[in-house]
Formats: sequence, structure tokens, C-alpha cells
Amino acid sequence: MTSDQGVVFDLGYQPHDGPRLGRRGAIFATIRDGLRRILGIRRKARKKVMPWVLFGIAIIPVIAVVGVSFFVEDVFTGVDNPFASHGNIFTITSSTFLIFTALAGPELLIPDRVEGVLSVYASRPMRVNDYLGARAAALAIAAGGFLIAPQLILYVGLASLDDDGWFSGLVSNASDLPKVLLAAFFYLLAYGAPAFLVAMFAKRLGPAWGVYLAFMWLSSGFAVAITEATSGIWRYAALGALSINPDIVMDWIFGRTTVREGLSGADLDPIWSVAIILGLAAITWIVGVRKYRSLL
Amino acid sequence: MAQGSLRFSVSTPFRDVWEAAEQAVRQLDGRVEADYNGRLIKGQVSGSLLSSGQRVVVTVGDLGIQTEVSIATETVGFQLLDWGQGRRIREKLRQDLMDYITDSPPVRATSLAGIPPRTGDRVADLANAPPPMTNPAYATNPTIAADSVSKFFGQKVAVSSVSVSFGPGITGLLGPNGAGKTTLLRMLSGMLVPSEGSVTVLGRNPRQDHEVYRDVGLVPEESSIYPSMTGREYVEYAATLAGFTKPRLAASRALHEVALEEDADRSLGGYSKGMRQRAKVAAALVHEPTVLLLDEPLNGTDPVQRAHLITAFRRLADSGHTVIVSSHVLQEVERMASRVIAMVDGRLAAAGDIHAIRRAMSDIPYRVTVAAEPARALARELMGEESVDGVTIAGSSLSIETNDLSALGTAVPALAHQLGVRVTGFSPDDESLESVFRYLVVGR
Repeated sequence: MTSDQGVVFDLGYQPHDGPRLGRRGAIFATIRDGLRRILGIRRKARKKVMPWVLFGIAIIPVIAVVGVSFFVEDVFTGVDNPFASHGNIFTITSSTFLIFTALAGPELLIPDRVEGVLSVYASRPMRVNDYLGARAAALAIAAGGFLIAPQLILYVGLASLDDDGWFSGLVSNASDLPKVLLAAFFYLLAYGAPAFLVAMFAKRLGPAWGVYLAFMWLSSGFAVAITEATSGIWRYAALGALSINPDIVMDWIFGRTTVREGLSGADLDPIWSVAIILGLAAITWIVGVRKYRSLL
Repeated sequence: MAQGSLRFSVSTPFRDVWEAAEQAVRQLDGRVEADYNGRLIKGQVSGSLLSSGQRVVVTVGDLGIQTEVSIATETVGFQLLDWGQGRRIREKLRQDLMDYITDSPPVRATSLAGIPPRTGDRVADLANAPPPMTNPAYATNPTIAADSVSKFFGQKVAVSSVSVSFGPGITGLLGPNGAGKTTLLRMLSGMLVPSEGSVTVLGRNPRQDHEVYRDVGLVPEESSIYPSMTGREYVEYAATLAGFTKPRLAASRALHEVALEEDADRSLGGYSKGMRQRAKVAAALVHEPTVLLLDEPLNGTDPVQRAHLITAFRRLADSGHTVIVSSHVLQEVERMASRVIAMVDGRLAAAGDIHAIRRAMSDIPYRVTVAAEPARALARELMGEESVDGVTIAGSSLSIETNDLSALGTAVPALAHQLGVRVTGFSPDDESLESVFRYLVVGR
């Protein structure tokens, strides 16, 4: 039997009934957005090409080095493999990371400012430090892919070549891991800080990439030229080699005695390079907070 | 004699100061006259108290002009307590407050204001005072308050000593280009630091307590979208930034609210200006804020979209939200806002109900058009009326300038009846928001 009566239910407005995460949630959302942006995730195909090609360039040589080491294992019996060292891998991957940073730094900061989207962040429970920190964290996580992932491949790969077995290899080389992390940290600061500094003032992505790369490479070129041509107090000009400073610090961390072309004559303590990297990072942070305090 | 009233504010985490301030507000709640350095200040002291945890903002009335601010400051002996300065400052503040209540010579109750002269305890005198008159610049239940805020950009004064508050309902923020609307809105939203004065949102300083943004939605004037995102992604991102754990559902609701659901999966870069505006409004609404600050939200929208957005704003206002709409589209503001705040050259030019503002312009006569037949006979008689300043005849209609609209409203039908004139129309010409705005901005 059917009824001839009807009823319309008012579904009404259903407010959000989940938890509200506040400041922490806003920071994580900003980090996630930053990662998507610099890796081209959920973006057009052309936005994905550069980051993933660069990532491939950073990873493939390491895989090749590890693979070759398997085949030529007997050649290096009793001696350290001169190619498969963490220092060498950093030398290969850092150049790729420098180019990635040139793309990622501006991508993280410029669109927000130019498109006026900072007001979206400003009207959320975030502070200036949170916003800048979240953007830097996105770059740091991506740096993990470029700088640490290849090292882990190497670490695991070399362990499998260990005569005493894979696990024993992992344990015996574990002391390298803190050095890897420390060196990656300095690469991140040394390359990331100038990229952010440029991005804080540039209005367009293309010019920002160019200015950053020119800044990094030309500063190193000038530093090498001045160091080679002069002596005395002028040897401190070597510290202006912004793209080479983290290499010097990395050599120091791994106890390598690599001769850096043109800068060897300066004969400066690596602690100076550490100071320059940290100083530049601090300046970038201060400038960023001051600038964004008026924008956010 | 200057008109005004006394005002002070306290921000403190200390309970004893809080109590002293609260007591001061309660005891000064009445009409007073102040004699300061030989200058007589007649004004109103009324109070409201907003508290949030241990932070307190006490507002006692309003000061219309800068000199009176300094009088209040000097009389009370403080303006703002930096609570980091320690116990001695707290004690000084407490003492100043108590002195002000019990022993302050510049302020006294007086019979001139209809209150018996002070005899003994001032508190007892003031207890008999008439209820305080409300200042239209202040909302009854304020959720956002600007206290003497100014903003300078180098030599340019963008906003000059504006004191105003906003409560539930829609308030229209009006002003010509460069009047300081956007600057004031940015200060209210915490995006700009006032050069002077202070802003509180829901009783908190938005520059210091960012958690207040859980309850604030902002539609800025600038583009503020990511062209590469779809409308849905953008609104979802806004929800995620607000800490929502179910951003998809919240985004769908907000997109529905602005009628953008059908186009939600298209890239924002391909949206029209009106659609972008609606996406921005959706992003501002998505976290269900109680306070909405909208800077020109109707820009670029077509009439249908405008009507839809206005309905949405009204619905929010009716449900107790505070909605502040900055706009130069006067007709739309008139349709949605019962209360307006008008700014000119960075200063507060008028506040309150639009008809009340018009009535307050007593130096500007009303213009009324009366359609009558025969018009000339009625014009002749009207010229003899005290309330009529001038009459212009144009065919069968009269344009009348009057200083008393209600008196004219009584006189016209009476004279028409007496003269046998048929009156077919009677309409005030300049009670619209546009007319009032024109008077405020460019004079007559």
C-alpha cells in the first residue's frame, strides 16, 4: 500500500565537522603546495619536464656508478673505489641541484607575490616565518631527492658489494650518513639562500632564473680570477665563489683534499666558507622576514 | 565648546589592571563635561568592554578630534600599557586609573549637561546620568574595532585617525578612489600595521594573534589567485590552509554558495573576471568565518552574479556574520548594507544609516520634487513657508529646497488642499546613497 502524502526534508547547511588543524595545518599545506609546484605535480606536462629531467640527471649517474662497480668489483679489491665515493657523487649531483634551485626558488616565491596570492596566506593562521619556512622546507625536501637520494643509492649499493655481506656493509659505512646529511645541508643553504634572495625581489620567473645562475657562476668566476691574479688580503676574494663554497665545505666534511681550480692559492680555512654560507642564509632570512612582514 | 567624549584603552594580561579598568568604565558611564587647561570639553562617556582571556580592551566613548585624544591621554595618564614593562608600570596604571575615578580635577559632572553638580563622590553623581547616546561610528556588539588608526606611506597620509567599529550585519565601506578604504580594510584584516592606533578583531590583535584568522575571511582587491589551479583546487587549498581536514566537502559547499560549481574544474586562468571574483569569495567563505572583509567583491561581476553574491552576503549577515563590503558601486551597497562608513581623504566622513547621515547634514537643504497641477500656484504659497528655502518651477513639477523635510511634508498637502491643487508626486531627490555620497565627497 502506498501513501499519498509527501515530505521535503531540508538538508540545510552542513558545517565542517572535522578537526581544525590551525597553524600547523596551514604550514603543512603550504609545504605540500610548494612541493607540487616545484616538481610540477598537478601541473601541465611542460611544468613537469625540467624538474624530473634534472632529477633523472642526478640519479642516473649514481645508478651507473653503482652498476659499474658491480662489474669491476675485482679491479678495486683491497682499495677504495675512486669513483663510487660520496664526495664524487656530491660533485655530480650538486651541479644539477644548482640548476634545479634556480628554477625552484623563484617558482616558490614569485607567483605568490606577483599574483597577489599572499593575501590568501595572510588571512590564515600563519606568520611570516611560517610562510617563508614552509617555502624553504619544500625546497629542502626536494633537495633531499637531489642530494640525499643518490647518496643513499650509493650507500646501499656499496654495502651490497661488501665482502662481509650487505648488512655488514651498511653498518660499516653508517658513519658516512651524518656527513652526507651535513654536506647536503650546506649545499641547500649555499644554493637555496641566493635563489630565495633573488626571488624575493624579481617579478618574473625567467629573469630570476637568469639572474640567479649568472650571480652564482659569475661570482665564482670573478673570485677565481681575482684569487689567481692577486695575493695577500685579496686571497679572501676566494670566498666570493658562491657556487664553489659548498664544495669546499663538503671536501672538508669528507676529509677530501680536492684541489679546487683557481682557489687553491687562496689557502683559506674551510671554516670561512662555512661562515659565508651561514651568513648569506641569515641575511636572506632577515631580508625575507622584513620584506614579507609588510606584504603578509 | 568642543564636542567629543573621553576614550582610553588598556591592553593587559594582569587581572588587577583588568578589574580597575572595568571599574572605571562602569563608573564613568554617563555624561560629563571636562575642563582642560581652560578649554571646556562637552561630551559623552559611554563604555563597552571586550575581553578575550586575560587581554582586555576597554573603550570609553569616542573622541572626535585629535586634541581630545591627547586630553584623554593626559587626563588618564596612560594610553596603552606594555605589559612587558613590569610591576611598577602596572601599579602606576592602576593608580592613575583609580585617581581618575576618584580625584581627577579636570573631569566633573555638571548641571549644564542636565546632571546635578558634583558633590562628593563622582560615581554617585554619574549614576543618575541619562543613558549614553550611541555613536554611529561604533557598532553595538563590535567584532572589529579600529581605535584612532592612521597609516602613513612616507609623506602621504592614507588613513588619518579613524575610530570605528563593526558588528554583525553588512556594513558598506564607501569612498572615492584614494579615500583610504583599502588601506583601512588591510589594517582591519591585519595585513597592514597601523602607523598609529590599534585594531582588534574579535577582541584580539590580528598582527599578534594569528589564530584569529580562523574566524576571518578576506577577499582582497588584487587578483590573488593561481591561474594554473582549477577553481576547486584553489578553494580546496584555501580550506587546507585554514586547517580543514575535509577540504573537498568544504570547497564544494563554498563553490555552491557562489554558484561556481559547474565551472569548478576549469582552470582559473580561463575564468572571466566575475568568475574569479566568485572564486575569491568562495575561498574566503570556505572556512566558515564569522567575519568577512570584502574589498570590491562585486568588481567585474554581471548583474545576475551580483544579485547572487548580494543574496549570499545578506544570508551570512542575517545569520550573525560581520560582513564589511568596500565598494564604489553605490547602488549595490545601498541594496545590501543598512549601515555605511564613508571615508574621504583618509578620514571618516560619515557613519551610520544613510538616511540618518542625510538628516545630519543640516547645512545642506533637501531637494524635493513635487508634481502638481497647477504648479505655479503651489509654488507661490510654498515660498511663504518657513521650511522652504527655494522653489524652481519646471512645467508641472516643482523642485523645492527645504531645511525641514517633515515640515514640508505637512505643508504641501495642506496647501494643495487649500488651493485646490492636485499633487501627483512627492519625492526627495537627494536621500539616495549616491546623493549623500556626492555631498560628502564634493560638497553641494
